[in-house]
Amino acid sequence: MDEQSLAASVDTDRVPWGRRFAAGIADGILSAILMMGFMMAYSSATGAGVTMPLKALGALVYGVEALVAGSMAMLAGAGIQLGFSIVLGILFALCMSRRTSIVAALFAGIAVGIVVWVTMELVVLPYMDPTMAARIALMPMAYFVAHLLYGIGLGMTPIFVRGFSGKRRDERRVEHPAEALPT
Amino acid sequence: MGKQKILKVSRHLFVAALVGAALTGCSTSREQPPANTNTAAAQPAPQPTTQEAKAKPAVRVPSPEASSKKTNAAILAQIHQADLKEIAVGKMAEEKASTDEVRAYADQLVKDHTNADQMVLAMAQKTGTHLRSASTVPSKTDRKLSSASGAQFDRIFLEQTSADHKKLMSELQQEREDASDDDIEALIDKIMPILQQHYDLAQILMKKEQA
Repeated sequence: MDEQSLAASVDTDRVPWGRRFAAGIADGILSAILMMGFMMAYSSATGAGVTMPLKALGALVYGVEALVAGSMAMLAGAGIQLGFSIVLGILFALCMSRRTSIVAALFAGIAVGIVVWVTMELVVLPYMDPTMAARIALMPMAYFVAHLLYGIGLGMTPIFVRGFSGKRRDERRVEHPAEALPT
Repeated sequence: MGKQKILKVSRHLFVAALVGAALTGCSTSREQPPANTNTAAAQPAPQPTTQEAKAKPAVRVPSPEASSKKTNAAILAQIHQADLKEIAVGKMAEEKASTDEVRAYADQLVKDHTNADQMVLAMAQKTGTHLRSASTVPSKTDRKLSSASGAQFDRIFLEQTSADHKKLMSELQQEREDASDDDIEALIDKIMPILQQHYDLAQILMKKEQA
């Protein structure tokens, strides 16, 4: 492969920043839904109430009153979860190219999930949100699994990056004739 | 004839002994719980009845394991009774509270104490402790709550839950320090922050009601 074709190939792997940004947002939303959905389902199954994870997160803003503050506290909780998840999703997507393998991204995503879990356990819960800490103490394993799920969600980023790369199939076929479908 | 007399007397004695043994068995089975079960009463160490004391003249010193088991049973019973009380009061407040916040608080009380009670019941089952069900006799405060309505109900409800939680927390704190069982310590560690939240919420809501 000569220098010119190599440069062209690298160029096609690059995804514009804006599209990676959009992919990160979409993946962040997916990861947040995966994590929060699991926590809400678990919380409901154990009798703590389906909205408890949202209220517990909302306690970062409202303190212990989040438990009785109703929909505002739950909205705050959902906002925190989505916001944090989207920011991490964007950072993750910015590190991806179209060629990043899903397996590598999954491992990296799970590692990030575990780092987030450790940070939450050691810093955020005890010092910033004791209300949530008390609730998480009743479901520690589920909380860990939720972070693994979050990591798996992050690991899906390459799929979104490819999806948002903006290369339509027919354009790709022109650039890479080898990818053309057999007639 | 002498031999026959002896046989007759011994037969009478045997029958009398059998009847005596049967009667003793019946009376103790009514008073004692089933075998291998610790009956957890509200009092930590129930005193033996006069009949039991007479039946066992030799004073037995309980082994440290046995006394610790009794204490654990009493702690479980105490938490269980507190849970049942808060669930009952919370359910009443869900229907009678006049504000959304107090209703939400009552709902939270019911959920949390139901969960806590499930943990207590699981531990009681594990340790073979028999827990009594809730008392059917309403207390003075229960009667007060039943007759109150509106803002007055909210005030009495919040005052009662606040006082109940404060009392329970101080008792559990003491028992946590005295406890020798890791499971009991872990249970108290899990429950205490939730009780503290209930207490804090009751205080906050009372201040709001006063304002």
